[in-house]
Amino acid sequence: MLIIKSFIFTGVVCLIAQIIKDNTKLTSGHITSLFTVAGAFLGFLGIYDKLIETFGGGASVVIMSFGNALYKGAVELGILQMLGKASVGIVTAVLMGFIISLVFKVKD
Amino acid sequence: MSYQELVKSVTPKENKWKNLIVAFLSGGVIGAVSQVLVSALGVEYMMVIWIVLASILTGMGVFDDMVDKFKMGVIIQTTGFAHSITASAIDYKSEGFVTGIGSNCFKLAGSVIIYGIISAAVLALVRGIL
Repeated sequence: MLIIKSFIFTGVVCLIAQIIKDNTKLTSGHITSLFTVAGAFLGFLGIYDKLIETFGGGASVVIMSFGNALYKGAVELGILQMLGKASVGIVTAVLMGFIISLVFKVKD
Repeated sequence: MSYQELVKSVTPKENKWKNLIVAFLSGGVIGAVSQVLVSALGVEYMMVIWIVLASILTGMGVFDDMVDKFKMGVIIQTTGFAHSITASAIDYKSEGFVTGIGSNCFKLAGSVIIYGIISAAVLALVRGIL
């Protein structure tokens, strides 16, 4: 059941992002930043944890959960230590980005 | 025929409805798989698996094709974040380790990190005041 809920949640988030992309001049970078800030705001309102409870992994995989993790880190660990929970994503992405860039070349 | 009409007739029409359905379905599949990963391994490993996968697919040049096909369906998740870092690192590799990879890998992901941190800081301050 949680799998279906996850499917619907992530699907709807992508749908909203696609609607914004198709109907405005915003780039993917604008939209992902927007969703991150929205995630922090939903965390601030206390909504995002409930979304994760209800929709499971689907709510954790979208970029909004990054914003939520930053906000929760800022509240629980202190503003200057806010990366606590969000650190996994950043560090893994940097490590992988570097390693992959050593191995692969630009595709012609 | 005026120039505008000519341009309009030559520009390929993007089917907006098809875009929306594709974004919904591909996003949904990622969400469903994420839930399976979370229940099997936990949230952190789920993140790591998607990031590793997205980085490798970006390196192989497959991810760009997926973005063309699935649109926002693969961008708005953690996969898009990992893709932007790896893609920038590969694109600027030829300019060297420091001026190339080092100073460009956050070219796109930087705005997500910066505005995420700023909004979280402001909101946490507001919460402290209230």
